[in-house]
Amino acid sequence: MKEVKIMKNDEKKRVREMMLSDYLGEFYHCFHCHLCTVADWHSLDRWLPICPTFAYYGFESFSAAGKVEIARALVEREINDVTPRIAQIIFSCTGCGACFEQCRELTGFKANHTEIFEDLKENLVERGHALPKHIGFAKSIEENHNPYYEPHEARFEWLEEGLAKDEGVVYFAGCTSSYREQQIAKSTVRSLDAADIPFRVLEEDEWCCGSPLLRTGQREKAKETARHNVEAIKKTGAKTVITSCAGCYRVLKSDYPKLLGLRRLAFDVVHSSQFFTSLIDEGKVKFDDKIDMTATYHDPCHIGRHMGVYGEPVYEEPRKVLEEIGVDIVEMPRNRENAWCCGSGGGVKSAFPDFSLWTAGERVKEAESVGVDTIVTSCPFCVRNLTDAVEESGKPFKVYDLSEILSEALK
Amino acid sequence: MRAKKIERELVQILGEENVSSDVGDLIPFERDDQFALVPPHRPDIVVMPSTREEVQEILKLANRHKVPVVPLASGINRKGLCIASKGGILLDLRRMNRILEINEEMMTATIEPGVSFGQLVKEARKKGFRVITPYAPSTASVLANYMLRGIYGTATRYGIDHLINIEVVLPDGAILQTGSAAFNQSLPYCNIVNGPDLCKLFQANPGTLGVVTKGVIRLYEMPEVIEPLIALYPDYASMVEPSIEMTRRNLVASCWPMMFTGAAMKILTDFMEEDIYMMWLYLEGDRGQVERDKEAVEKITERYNGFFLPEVPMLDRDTMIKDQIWERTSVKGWKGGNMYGCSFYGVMKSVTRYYEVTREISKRHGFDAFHYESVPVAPFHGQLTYNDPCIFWDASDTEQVKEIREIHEEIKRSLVDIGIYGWFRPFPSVVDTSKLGRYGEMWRKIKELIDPNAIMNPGKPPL
Repeated sequence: MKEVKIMKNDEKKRVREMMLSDYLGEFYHCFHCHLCTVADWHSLDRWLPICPTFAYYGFESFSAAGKVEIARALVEREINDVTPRIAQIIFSCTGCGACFEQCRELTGFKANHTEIFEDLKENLVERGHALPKHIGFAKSIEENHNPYYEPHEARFEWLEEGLAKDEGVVYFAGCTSSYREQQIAKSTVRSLDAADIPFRVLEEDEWCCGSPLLRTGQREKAKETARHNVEAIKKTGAKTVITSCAGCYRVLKSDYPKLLGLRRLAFDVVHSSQFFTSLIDEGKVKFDDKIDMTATYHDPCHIGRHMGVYGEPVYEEPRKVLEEIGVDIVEMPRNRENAWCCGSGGGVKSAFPDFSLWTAGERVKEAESVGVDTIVTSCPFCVRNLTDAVEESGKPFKVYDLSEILSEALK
Repeated sequence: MRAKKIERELVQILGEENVSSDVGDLIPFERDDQFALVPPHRPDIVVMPSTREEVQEILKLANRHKVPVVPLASGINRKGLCIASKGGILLDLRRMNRILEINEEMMTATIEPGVSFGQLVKEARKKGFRVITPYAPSTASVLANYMLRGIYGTATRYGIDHLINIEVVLPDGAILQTGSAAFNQSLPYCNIVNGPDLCKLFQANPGTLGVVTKGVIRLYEMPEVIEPLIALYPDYASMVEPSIEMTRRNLVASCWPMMFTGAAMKILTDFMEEDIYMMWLYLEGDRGQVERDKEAVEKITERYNGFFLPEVPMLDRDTMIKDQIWERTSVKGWKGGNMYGCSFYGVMKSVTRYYEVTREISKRHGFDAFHYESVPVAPFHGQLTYNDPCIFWDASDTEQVKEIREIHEEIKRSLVDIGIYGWFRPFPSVVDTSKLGRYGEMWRKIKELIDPNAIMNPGKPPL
C-alpha cells in the first residue's frame, strides 16, 4: 500500500485555522431540539439520556446545542473573553459522539459535533485556556512519550522475552496498556502467540499515539507523535498494525492520515477484535474449551460511534469473539450506536475526575440492571474508568478487556 | 451593583450550583431558529429551581426588584417565545421533571413542567396508557405544549385539549390552583369548579401571567391497533372533501393532508423530486373497528381519485406507528437547515386557497422547497383546521433572512384577507392585540391585573 499525499503543509494550516469558522453556517441549523441528549427511543423503546455531560451538569450550556451556540458566539466575536466557566463547559465534553449519532439521521445539522467540539477545544487552547491537567500530560508526552509521567524506557517492561519477533505484524500497545493496564497488552501478545501470529513491537520507537492531545485541542503537538509513529511503522516494513487500544485505533486509522495530509497510510490498522474475528472466520483460531461466562459488553466510543463516522464501526467483532469463546452476552439497553460513554475520554478523567467517575458509575448501574456482574469492553481506558467506578461502588463487579478473556480461552 | 445583589439573593434561594450569570451559560438562550422574526437577546442570569417553593421565592424577588422573568420548561424554545427580550432571569424549569402521579382510575397524570413527552410516554405505557403527543420532538415539555395548545398526531379524533388543571405561581409569589383543585386539592381531576375554568385563562399566555409548576393532564387508553395509511391525490383541492367526510364520520384518528414540492421532497428523501399531494391517515381502535373504518376510508379515497401507496420508501410502517405514540422524526422538517412556518387555525373548505396563496408567495420569493399541511381538528364544528405553510430555508444566509421577513408579512396579510380563525399560538411575530378590539383590551387588562409590574416574559403577547 502506498502513502498518498493530498495537501501541502501551508494548505493544511489554512484549513485547520479556518475550521471552527467554517462551521458557522451549520451553527445556524441547530434549533435546540435536544434530541442529541436522549438515546434513540424508537429503537430502544425507552427514554434514556445519552449525553453524560448534560446529564451531569444540567445547564443548557453543557448540551451539544449549548456548545454549538458558544462556538457560534466565539466565531462571530460575540464572546471575546473566555471565562473559566466556558472552559469548563467545553473541556468537560467527553467527545463520545453520542450527540452527533442521534442528530445526524434526523435533522438538517450536517456537521459532526465531535469534530466541532474538538476544534472548539483547540480554539480555547490557542487563546491560552488549556487546562493545567491537559498541559501537564502534554508536557509528559513531549518529554516521556507517554501522558503518565512514566519513563519511556519502561514502556515495554511488561513484554515477556521471546514473544516478539523481528517480523510480521506490528502490535501497537499504547500508553495505557503499557503503563497502567498491562494485563491487556500481555493478554493480547499471548493471544497472538497462541494463534501463531508472528508480531513485533516498536520498542523505544513506539510513542504515545497522540490521542490525549487530539482529544483536548492540542492538535499541533500531536503532529510530531503522528509523524514519528508513522515513520517508525514504515521502517519495519509491516503492512498491518494491530492495536488493542480503542483510542490508538481511532487515531492511527482515522486521525493520522488527516493530521499528516494523507489520503491513506502505507499500512493497514486493525483493532485486535477485528484481527481475531478474521482468524476465527478463516478457521485459524478455534476454541475447543468454551468459557462459561455471562457478561455484558460495553462499546467504547473510539472504535464504535467514532469509527462509524470515519470508517466502519467496530460493534460486532468483539461480540463475535466473545460468543465464539462461549460468553453469553446480555446487552445493556444502551448499546452500539446508543452506548453510554464510560466517561474517561476527551481529557475528562484527568480534569474532571468526579464527573468522569459518575459517568462510569451510571454505566455500571446499567450493567447491573440487566442482571450480570461482569462487563467486557475493548478499550484500556474504559477498563480503567469502569473499574474505578466498580471500586467506588464497592460492588462485586468484574471488568475485563476482551483481550483478557480471549487469552484465557486460547490457553 | 443591583444585578450582583439580585444574584446573591438567587444564590441564597437555590445554591450556587443552580445559578449562573456567566456568559457561557447565557449565550445558549439568546436566540432560536426564528431569530429572523424575533431578535436575539440574552438573559442576565439563568436559574434552575427544583421546587415550587423555590419558584415562589424567585418570583417574589423578581417582583420586588421589577426584574423580568422568562420561564422555559424543558429547554425547547419555539418562535421566540422564550427569548429574554428585555433581559432578566431565565427560569429554566428542567429540574422540575417529576411525574407526581399516574392515576389509573382517573386516567390522568400529574406532572411538573420539566417532564418531557418521552419521559411521560414511557411511564404511562407501563400502566397501559397513552399520552397524546404533538408533532414535535419528544424532548418537548408536556405542560408547556398543552398550555400553548400544540398540534397532535391524533388531533382529528382527540382534539387539542388535554389539560385539566394547573397550579400556577403568580408574579407576587402566590399560588393559584385551577379547576376542582381550587376546591379540593385531593381531587384535582376536574376542570369544573364553581366558576369559570381559569386554566383556560392561562393557556396561550406564553409564561406572561405566572409560572406553571404542576398540571393534571388527560391520559388515554392505548389502542389495540394503529394502522397508518398514505394516500396520494392529484392536487390539494382533491383532499378537502375526503378529509371532511372522514373527520365527520370519525373514521380516522389522524388526517394530515399535505403537499410537498419536488424541491422539498429532494431535501427530505434525497431521491424524490416530484411535487406530491399526500394524506397521512392513522386508523386506531380494536381490530374490528379498524377493519370497518379502513373499508370506509378506502371507498372515500377512491371516490375522490386518491389511491393508497403500498409502501413508503422513506418512511416505514413501524416508524410511523412509533411516531404516532412518541414522536422522533418530526424534526426531519429541518433537514434543509431551517424551517419557517406560519401556523394558524382556519376553515377546511378554505384550505385550498390558503395553500395556493402561501405557495405562490413562497415561489415568488424564490423558495421552491415548500410544504403545506392542513389538519382537521376535533371537535370539527366550524370545520376547525390547523394549517401550516412551511418553507425550508437557510438562516445562515443573510439575504434569505431578509426574504423570510418579507414573506412573513405577506403571508400574514394574505391569510387574513382570505379569512382565518386566528394564529396557532401567541407567537410575538403574529399576535397584534390592537387588531383584536375589546378582546385585545381585555387580554391586556388581565395581564396588568395579574402582573402589574410586567415582570413575566415581557415583550410577548399581549404586548
